[in-house]
Amino acid sequence: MRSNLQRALALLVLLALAWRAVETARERWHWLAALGFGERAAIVRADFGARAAAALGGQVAVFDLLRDHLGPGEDVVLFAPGGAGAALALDVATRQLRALLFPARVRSCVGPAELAAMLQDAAAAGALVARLGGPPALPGEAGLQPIAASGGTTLFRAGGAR
Amino acid sequence: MSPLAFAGALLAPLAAGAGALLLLGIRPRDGRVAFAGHAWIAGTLALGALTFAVALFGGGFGALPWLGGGAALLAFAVGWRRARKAVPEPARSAARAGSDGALWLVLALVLALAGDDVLRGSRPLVTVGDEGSIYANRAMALYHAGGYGPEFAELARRDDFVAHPDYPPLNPLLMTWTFACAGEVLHLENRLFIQTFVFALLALMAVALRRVSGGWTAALVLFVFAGARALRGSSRVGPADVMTACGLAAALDAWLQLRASGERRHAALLGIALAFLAWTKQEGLLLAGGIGAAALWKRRHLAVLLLPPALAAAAHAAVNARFGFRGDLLAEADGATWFERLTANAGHHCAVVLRQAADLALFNPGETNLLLACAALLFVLAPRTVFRVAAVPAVVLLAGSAAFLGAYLVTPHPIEWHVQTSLVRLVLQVLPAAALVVAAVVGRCLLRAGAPPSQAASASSADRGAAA
Repeated sequence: MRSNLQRALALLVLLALAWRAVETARERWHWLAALGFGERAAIVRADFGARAAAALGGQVAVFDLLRDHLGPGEDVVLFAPGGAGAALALDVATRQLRALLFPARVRSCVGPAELAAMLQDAAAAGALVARLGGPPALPGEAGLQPIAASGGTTLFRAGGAR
Repeated sequence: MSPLAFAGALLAPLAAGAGALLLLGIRPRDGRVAFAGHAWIAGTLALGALTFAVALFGGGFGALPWLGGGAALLAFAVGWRRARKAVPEPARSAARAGSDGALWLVLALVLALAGDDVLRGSRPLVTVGDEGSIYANRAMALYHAGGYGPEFAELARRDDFVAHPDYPPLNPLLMTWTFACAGEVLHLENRLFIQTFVFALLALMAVALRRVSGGWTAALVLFVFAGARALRGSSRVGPADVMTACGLAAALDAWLQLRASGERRHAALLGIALAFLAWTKQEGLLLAGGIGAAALWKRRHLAVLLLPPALAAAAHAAVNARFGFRGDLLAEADGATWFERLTANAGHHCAVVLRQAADLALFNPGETNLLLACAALLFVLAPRTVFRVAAVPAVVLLAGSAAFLGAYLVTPHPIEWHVQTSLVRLVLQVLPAAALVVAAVVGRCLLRAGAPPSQAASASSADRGAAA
């Protein structure tokens, strides 16, 4: 009796697994078909810049600018005037750039007071300041020299020209 | 990183692991798929240990590729020589049943599909998430500092850069190995290296499933296991969860072989798998302890197999103690000790975890492909059969789940957030045990296959047949 019950239980489990196998096969088929060979080949061939762009989403310009201008031992301050919406995007970009620009230290701020305090440090260290969008002038930007701009991002050097 | 350098970075651990297994007396003819899977586990553990030693004793990582490559070649050469000198075993019959053909066909299919997952995961670079903040950034700090020195400590203590520097070190050590092979910090190949563990996991699961059930059942469960979204999601990125699942599969497979043969070489294989497991994540350490205790319960004279995981855990604990890295689970938070949190929150946290677990197992069937729900059903309705045919996987599944629940009970984080962000990954880590329980019970009750004493032999002969 118990053996029959166990067999019935095992059969139930087997049927459940068979259902999941069919669902998995269907799902995987759609998954496979969703990406053509051309797109797969593009992933294989993509270079560092293209992959960085995929990681950074809309923040490609800041990455390109910083990669071109960041010197050894320099730190980075990212500034995005524009409230909570900008803060979220800035936080994501900051964490990504910390990895991509390592060993440069990347910090970020949104409030003018926070920026002013951070700029004092940055000026002393000779850091790069990147403003993502926002008004043309930075609050308390004395000592900041704009050195490049692209795609809504402006790059400044704190602490004078190097 | 050039393709040649990356191939070298992959081949070194494979050669080192193959050499180690040959030295232990484990031959490819015992089962080539199992041999490849265990060789990857042993080799990556050995390379991780070498990287750890170089990091500990300083000197930078410039010579690491030559040191690792040389040691791997030496291990392989010595192992090969010893294997050739050994008296050849009489060939066992390796009759190929049609069901085994189905299993190897399914294995080839799921490996190809896993390759597609890995490819799609390679679109963006490693920057954020656990793979970035917990593992890759820590590896970058280690590589940049040239070892476990003050500069590493300073970088690893940056809250905004490295998260959980107290976590077990194997994943960052292997990423550091790829950096050393490339001669620079990487943002893609380090993830690819970690992603290779999904292939080892699937190979080891195929042979382990075959050891506890017939070929058709093993093929079905392997396909369902490989298609679980919990696994597919993790195999597209590079944190240590797939490594933990892989270590668990290796340990359970080694245990099944040890149970069938009683030989010392399989005990050594289990010791290696447990050390690997202990170095992947804290959860891996818990699981290694559970398997070690269960194995000792059955064979007390094999206490020595706990030596490798104990050494691994001690080395990791020593580095944490040196730099003052501490986990947050048992630390005091908001003025409350872990015990105070446990007594204050146990009921609420337990309810949240169980609700989320039930939701995951039953109402999101694609996440685990019902393997967890089926295992739970079998535990409730046929517990004696479960413990008779799959005692160690069953104990690991229960003890592991209980340990994970315990961690949630004392967590200092908001419980809803903690469960939502981690439960799927924890479930993935014990999914190999659930799959083995399900396959063993179905195989025994329904298909009358996979009797315990002959399990290892049947899987090995089938594996040999597939490779022939």
